[in-house]
Amino acid sequence: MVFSSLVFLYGFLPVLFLLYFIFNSTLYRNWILIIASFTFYAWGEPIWVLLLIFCAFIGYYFGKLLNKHRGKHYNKYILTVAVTINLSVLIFFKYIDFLLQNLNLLLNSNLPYSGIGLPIGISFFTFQVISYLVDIYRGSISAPTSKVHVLLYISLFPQLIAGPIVRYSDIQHEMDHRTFSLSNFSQGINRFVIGLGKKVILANTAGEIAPLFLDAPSNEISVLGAWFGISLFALQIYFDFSGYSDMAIGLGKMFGFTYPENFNYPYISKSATEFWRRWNMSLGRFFRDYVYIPLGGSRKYYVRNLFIVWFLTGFWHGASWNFMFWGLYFGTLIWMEKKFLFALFNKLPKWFAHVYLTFIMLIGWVFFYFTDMKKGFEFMSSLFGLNNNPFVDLTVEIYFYNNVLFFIAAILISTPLPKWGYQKLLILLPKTLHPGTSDNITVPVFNFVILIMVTTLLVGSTYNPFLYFRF
Amino acid sequence: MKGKMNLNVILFMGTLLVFFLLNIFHSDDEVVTNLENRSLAQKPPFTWKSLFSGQYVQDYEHYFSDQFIFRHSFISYGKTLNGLRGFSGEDEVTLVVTNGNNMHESLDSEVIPVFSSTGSETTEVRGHIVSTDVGVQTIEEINDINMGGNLVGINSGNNLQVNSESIADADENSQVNFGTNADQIQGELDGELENEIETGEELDKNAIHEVEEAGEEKEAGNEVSNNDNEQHTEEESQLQGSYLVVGNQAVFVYYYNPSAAEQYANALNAFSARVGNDVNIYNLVVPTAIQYLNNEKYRKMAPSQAKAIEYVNQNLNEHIQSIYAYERLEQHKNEYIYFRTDHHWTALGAYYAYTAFIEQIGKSPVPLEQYEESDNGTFLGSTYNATLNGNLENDPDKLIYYKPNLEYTYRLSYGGDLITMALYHPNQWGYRFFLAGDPSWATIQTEQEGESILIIKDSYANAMVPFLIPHYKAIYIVDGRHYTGNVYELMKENDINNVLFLNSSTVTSHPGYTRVLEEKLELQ
Repeated sequence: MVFSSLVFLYGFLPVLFLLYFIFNSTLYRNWILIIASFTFYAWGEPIWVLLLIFCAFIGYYFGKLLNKHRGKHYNKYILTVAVTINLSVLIFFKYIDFLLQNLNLLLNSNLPYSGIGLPIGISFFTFQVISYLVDIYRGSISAPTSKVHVLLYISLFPQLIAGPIVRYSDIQHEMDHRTFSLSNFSQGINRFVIGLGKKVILANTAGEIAPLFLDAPSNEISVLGAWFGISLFALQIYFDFSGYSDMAIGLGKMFGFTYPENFNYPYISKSATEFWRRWNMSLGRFFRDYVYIPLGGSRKYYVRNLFIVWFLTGFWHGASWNFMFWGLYFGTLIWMEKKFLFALFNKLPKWFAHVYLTFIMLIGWVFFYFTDMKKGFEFMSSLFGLNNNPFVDLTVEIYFYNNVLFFIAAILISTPLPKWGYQKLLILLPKTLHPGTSDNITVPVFNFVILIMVTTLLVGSTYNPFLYFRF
Repeated sequence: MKGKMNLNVILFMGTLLVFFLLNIFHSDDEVVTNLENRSLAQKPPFTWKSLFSGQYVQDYEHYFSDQFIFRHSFISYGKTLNGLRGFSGEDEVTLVVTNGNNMHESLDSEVIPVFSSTGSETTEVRGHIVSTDVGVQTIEEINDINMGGNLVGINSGNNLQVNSESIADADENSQVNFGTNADQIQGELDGELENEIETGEELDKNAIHEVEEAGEEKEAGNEVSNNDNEQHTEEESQLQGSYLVVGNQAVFVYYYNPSAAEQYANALNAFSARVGNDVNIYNLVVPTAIQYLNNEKYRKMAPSQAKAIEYVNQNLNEHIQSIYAYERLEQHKNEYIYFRTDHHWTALGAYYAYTAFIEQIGKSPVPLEQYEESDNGTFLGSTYNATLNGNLENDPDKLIYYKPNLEYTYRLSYGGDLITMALYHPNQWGYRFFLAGDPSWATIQTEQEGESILIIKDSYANAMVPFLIPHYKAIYIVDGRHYTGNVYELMKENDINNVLFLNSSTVTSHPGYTRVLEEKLELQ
């Protein structure tokens, strides 16, 4: 199921709230959440629930084992086995056909493909199990005594299918000791509604127009059309993914869980390095803590470590060459920034760094979007007018005018400007008109309006893809 | 502070609960949507098999959103919201994305009506257009619905279903969900939904009965054709398209794919080789409306269809004669030859194409003046449905037609036996008025002396076929998308030695239709 669907909003969620708040015992509530999460996950692909449960049990039993033998020299072998099992699950279900395909190409062989579809969210929950096991091994958490905790940690539906990647320590305490507070619930609503709006109003709209330019034959689109298309895709993927994270964080909050932040206005960054500190932050932290630093970080084999991490980051996004390329592209940029670009930017005006980031980010999305790299490079030529394509044409002109207000609004909303403006407004307005005092109306009404708009658009169109599901 | 929290929680939870309860308690499931020109999803029947395959929940989601309370109001508010995205300028120009990127699939090839006989088969229904049981509704009631607007997909009897594999397929292959809009487009571009049952005149009662019977004799061929459709690849379903609205006219923005054009020509060549030189074969490719758009600036947004059609013609072997209908239409481009709110041509446009054809075969066309011009009121067609544009809504199309002055019998089949039907069907809205939609095959027997002709066609032929009545003893009409019989046997049995391929220029955009032809006509 996806959050931005009518069935979720007006079927799943109300039923879950009713059941959840009827019971007052944390144990019951935990079980209700687990069952709800399985239902949520099974919606559409029932069989993979078994895989989810399998991974949770691997986590549980190996966690106990690691706990028991902590400090023993052979404990790392236990960890190796456990992590290997999890990675095998990920590799088998996500990468096997890619590997077979390339093996076939390489050896000119004809190995049959597995034909297994990608189980939703597998990249997220296998990583959560891995982080859980490593944390136990390191002693930063101790294994819980109850299976309920592990099941809840792995399967909790808000983060289950598109992150953020939560660590056990983030929610450990809250599993047994969360208390309901209206204030928390209300904040959860605020966050959820914002995410919902980002996804349905902004991401879906951008996603409706972008493919027209991105998927068009590369010699038929104009230069501006290509830039318009890739900019819309940048907006789409940001609002899609960050909207999803907002919804996850908001839902978590409603049920009393605190999830880590995952996005922090990535498009205002001034470098690739900064961009990745603001984009999918939980993934960045994962690779930093479980790959980069164990490899030696910046102190030992810095370049090697850097490229391993960025190769993996790219490949994690999908079983295809273009994602590897995309990861290494950012790895290279980050390396170059550290080497000499930062020194250069310091001498240049500040806007230059913003332009630089916007440029490399958009180019990056080209690699990301086109799983067929040949098409990606063709599109790249269109961006620079190398396909004999016109600079501007009527199609982009009409689409631009038809959507200009949306486009500008979406760009503004991807920056902290609205937030900043709101706070400025608070200072400027006379005390009597202060939203601070009338907040009890404005925020709820704002949420209500967004919710109705979302419902309107969802009913009006079932175009509702979740980009991040293939990861 | 507490007050704020409460209002927020109350409004949010209240909205969720209110819609939850409203949706539970409004059980009056609508069968069709006039606005979208299609049947609405009904509650899927529960089976363990469909649950475990994931099909059940997929159908259930379609059902949930299709039957959502106040759906129509939400849709029109949604259009208003979308209108706030920007401006349309003084030319009042907008481009509207056709959401589902599988539209080309549905445009040409994919919707196959299946008349199934057992209830259990409804589990096969995929996608959005599922069986819509009118059940025991009376003819009057059906007529009421039918008169209400652009209605299609009325199902009489119990088990009629449309199987839209394409949607489910594409759904699996690509990231995009196809829901409402994809289906809508399917209905629109294809010339409406396909499982039309005739209602209205007295013979219709009979017709329904016959269709039910036909359903029970479901042909194995239907199954086969469905399987065929599953083979289409992701690549094809990734195509995109858009509608251009200029003032009070909405047209689909044509695009050109030379390899599709070649493939179509090759299919015709293969057909020609197969039937031999004793059969006259004609090819008439109809351009779509944008070719003659009355505004040069926007017309140039699409490549020339004349060139595309010419490319097809160049690739045909010397036994196939090309009909230069597009030149004839060009001469009359300022007349009302295409609908403004529908993607089809008008009867007048079809008439001009007919004159090109009939002159080419050395006969002289019946002058238009000899026909009595009638009209069947106004309607809003497929391109309106796709865009819901207010300018179009305020200025609907007029449906003008020309009745043949001869005796003839029109019989059609939607998969079962032939049923006698009116050539122009007063109870059909919009373009479906002509030939009563797109039956899988049909015949017109006239009292003329002379030859027979087979027309292998898409919906564009429907407006033109009536003009051919004075020239043939018998006309056989086969819809390439839906026909399940054997064309060669049909030709042999009925001594047909003229074949006209009459299709829209979509065959030069996308190979889907051609591929279906290749399968059905065994051309590979």
